[in-house]
Amino acid sequence: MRWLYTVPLRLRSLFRRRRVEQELDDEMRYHIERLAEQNIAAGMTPAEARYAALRAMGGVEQRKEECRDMRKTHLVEDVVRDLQYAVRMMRRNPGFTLLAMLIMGLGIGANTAVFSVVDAVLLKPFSFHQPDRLVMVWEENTRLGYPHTDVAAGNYLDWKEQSDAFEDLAAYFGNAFNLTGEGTPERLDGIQATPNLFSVLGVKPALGRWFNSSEGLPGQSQVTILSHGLWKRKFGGNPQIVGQSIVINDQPYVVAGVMPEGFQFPRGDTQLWVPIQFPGTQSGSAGRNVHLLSVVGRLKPLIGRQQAETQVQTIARRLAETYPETNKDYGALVIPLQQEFVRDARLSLWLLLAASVLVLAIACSNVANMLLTRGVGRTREIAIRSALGAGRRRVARQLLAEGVLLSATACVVGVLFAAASFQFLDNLIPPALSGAVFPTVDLRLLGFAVLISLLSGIVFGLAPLRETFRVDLSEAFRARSAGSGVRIRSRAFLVAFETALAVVVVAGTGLVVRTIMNIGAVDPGFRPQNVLTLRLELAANQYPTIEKRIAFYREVLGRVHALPGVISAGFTTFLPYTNFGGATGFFAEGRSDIPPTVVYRRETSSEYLLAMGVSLLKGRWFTEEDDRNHPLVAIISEGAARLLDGDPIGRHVNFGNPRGPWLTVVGVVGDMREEGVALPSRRAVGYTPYAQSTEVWFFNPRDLAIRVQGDPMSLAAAVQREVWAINPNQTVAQIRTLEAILDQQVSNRKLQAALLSAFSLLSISLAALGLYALLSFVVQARKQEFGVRMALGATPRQLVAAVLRQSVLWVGGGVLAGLAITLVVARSLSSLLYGVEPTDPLTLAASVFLLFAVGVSAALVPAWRASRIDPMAALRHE
Amino acid sequence: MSKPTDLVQGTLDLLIMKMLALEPMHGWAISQRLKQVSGDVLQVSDGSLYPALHKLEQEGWIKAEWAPSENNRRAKYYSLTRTGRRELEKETANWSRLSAAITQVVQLEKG
Repeated sequence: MRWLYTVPLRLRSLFRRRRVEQELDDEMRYHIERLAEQNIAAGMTPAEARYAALRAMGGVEQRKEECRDMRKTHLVEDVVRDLQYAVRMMRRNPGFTLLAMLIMGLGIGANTAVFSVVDAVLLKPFSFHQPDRLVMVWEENTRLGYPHTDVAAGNYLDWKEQSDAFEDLAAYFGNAFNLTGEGTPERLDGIQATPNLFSVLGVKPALGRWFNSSEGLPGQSQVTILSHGLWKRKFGGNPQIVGQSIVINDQPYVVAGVMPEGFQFPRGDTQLWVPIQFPGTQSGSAGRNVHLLSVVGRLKPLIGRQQAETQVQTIARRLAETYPETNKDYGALVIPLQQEFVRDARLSLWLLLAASVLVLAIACSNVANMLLTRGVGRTREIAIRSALGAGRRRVARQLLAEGVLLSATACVVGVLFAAASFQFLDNLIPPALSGAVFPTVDLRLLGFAVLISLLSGIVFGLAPLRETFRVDLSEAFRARSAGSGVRIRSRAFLVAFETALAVVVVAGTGLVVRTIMNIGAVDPGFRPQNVLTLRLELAANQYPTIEKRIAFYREVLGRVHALPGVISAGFTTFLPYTNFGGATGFFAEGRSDIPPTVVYRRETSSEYLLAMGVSLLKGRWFTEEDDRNHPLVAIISEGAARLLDGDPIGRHVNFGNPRGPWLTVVGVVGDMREEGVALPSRRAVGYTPYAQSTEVWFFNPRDLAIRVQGDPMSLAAAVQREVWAINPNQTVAQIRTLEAILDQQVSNRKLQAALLSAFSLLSISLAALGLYALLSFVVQARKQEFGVRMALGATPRQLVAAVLRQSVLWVGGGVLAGLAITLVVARSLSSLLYGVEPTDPLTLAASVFLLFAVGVSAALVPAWRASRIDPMAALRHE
Repeated sequence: MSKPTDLVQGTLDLLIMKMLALEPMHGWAISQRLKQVSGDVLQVSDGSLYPALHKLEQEGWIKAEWAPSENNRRAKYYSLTRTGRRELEKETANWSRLSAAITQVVQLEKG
């Protein structure tokens, strides 16, 4: 029943404050008056009596404040009042407020922007159902040099049948489809997948249905599911498309469904899915030769990755015993889907987040320092407030309110800043996810921004507190100027702290920048300038025989050569970096002792290597003569040549078949970095002339490289026109320069370096600003001392030296601490670096020197000011 | 500023409630009565009385109303609420137990 009394009381003190205050006042006054009357009766004069009464109360205002504290509504009222007061303080110091807000806004903005990407890529679950239970299952044959390789259909079928760790396993492989009859013919990257793919991923189509289990068998009518993007782009988002027939590879396909927006699997550029099934006959040895499939599975509840892997490995071992011819040495591995997709983007994103947190810490300590400096100026104000009955906690809350208000406004600035930066952050998203995930301003992001803002507000809001409470009240009232008896130790510590963190950020940036420079300096093995590239995927139904294909290649090359500005042009199976597959075993005649080796195989036209600018080390290039009427020839890369003892020219080799027919090596060329510019190729390359190819297969050329004079892209339209003149239904895809392909290798690193550089710049400026502000303050505070010293004969030079000495001490301490931190944490970066050690002395020395130089320059102006002090003026002040 | 009262923590509340159990009183009267009854042994400073009163009021043990006082001025009269009465009984029992125990210990030392 207590609430009967208490609730009305609370409401009253909240909403009828003036009345309640009046009553408090009346009550106290009544007491004092009665006490005074008593004193008068005891013989005091009225003035004495009143004074004695007031004294007896022990400070009326303090008592009142104690009474107010008893009202539980205090908190609400105080917060409102504190905030009002904080707004007033901020408005009184607009310059200070703006600067602090800008500094914090940048710090919070940097964090929020980076977090948006981290959240999208690493933290938010994929759009799949229970994504943490999705895994990829791969085969491996480490002995043959495949630590991680595609799966043979027969093995997939056996895994699916014999394993009980998975709810289901789906298999798929990438394919190219020619879509005709809807405007210009288009080559679409698509997936052929077992019909259960979507049920394994647990994603329902936005329109239509999943494949059903009988679809994809040979002889069935063909169906397809479209990506949201393709449906919008090619079919205008028409919902009636489901059930209609479209023309793919010159055959009718019924559209079974459209996937939801944002769904992508396995890549961002996958535009359609077509079902395929592997007939049971493939479980014989026939289906175990070709390793083509990717396998994705859903783990059963309570089954771990490790458990599943052990099980699949057991099955693989059994298969290796049953089918030694095809399965010898093949094992299996299970990798979580997310890990597969995100790969090494994880570390670089965490690096960016760490750097941005350091920037925020620097920003915080900077603002804390500003508040500390201002706090000294406010000593008097706070002393007055204490004298009027404000307890320590009240003062602390007041300071806190100012800090939190400041950081709240900075939070708004930061979120706007982050939202504006989204468009630049695309490149940070790993390629497998691009298009599916993107940074957005959502509740999570806002929550993050508010959280870090609050934390920073508390941190720097309370910074002045310790300092303030050391102040002795009576001393504060006596002091004539702010700054007498200044304590700068905590501020000097903050400056050193900022410097230390800045060293860490700058050193990390230096390492990443040097990595990019190193990668840029790597010789990729070809000359990327002035080369136009494009992909002409030949449809099996349009070019069913190798003769037709050879005729097509010839005609394209003939027409391209006739274009003005073309120096050389050539076809190949795959350009470097565009496909890591297409490898076969490498065999030499009469040499069974060569360890099992796999090389990339490329069918090329005679000018391809020339157009790429690969260097010929020995022998000759292919010529137009190297066709099926002439002996079979091959060119091998340096890496393959090393496998053969002695002179490779004239040796007999074969790619893929240990029994021949043998090809004669006619040339040796330099190695290209096939897998990535930062990776030395794991495999060598064997080239054969396409004109000697005997079958329509995977290795037939599809990529065209054209070396031109001038800008390669200016030729793009003409090349396209020539191709369509030969076959109006031929798709022309991935038109870009060779430099662009090379550049893609480093584009995410470049963005990362650009962001880190921005962070570095920010931290250096903040550290310098902090030092400058502190030294200016110190010089101002020690004005009298300097004046006296000058009057006693100190030269300006000595005073400058004194100030510089102090700054060198602070900055030096910070730099050393930063160096120590860097040495400890840099090791975790090593997998992001290329050609530079994480503790690279040059980079570290440069960062240390930079910060030191910046620190000393920041000290110059205050030092100069110290030397200009007029001793007379300074002493008069005293 | 030294603490104005040497009273055991919480005893002031008990004294106030006990006094209000007899009749409604205003702050001044309570302070006078405290001095009278305890024979100046319990020095309750005038200032510390009011925060205690306000606390008890906020707790709902006592309630207040303004009424004319003996010298015809308006004063804030406090009286015990029903829950306050129960609280007082509880606290009194507590106090008796505590003081009896202390007395025993103190006498034990003497003997």
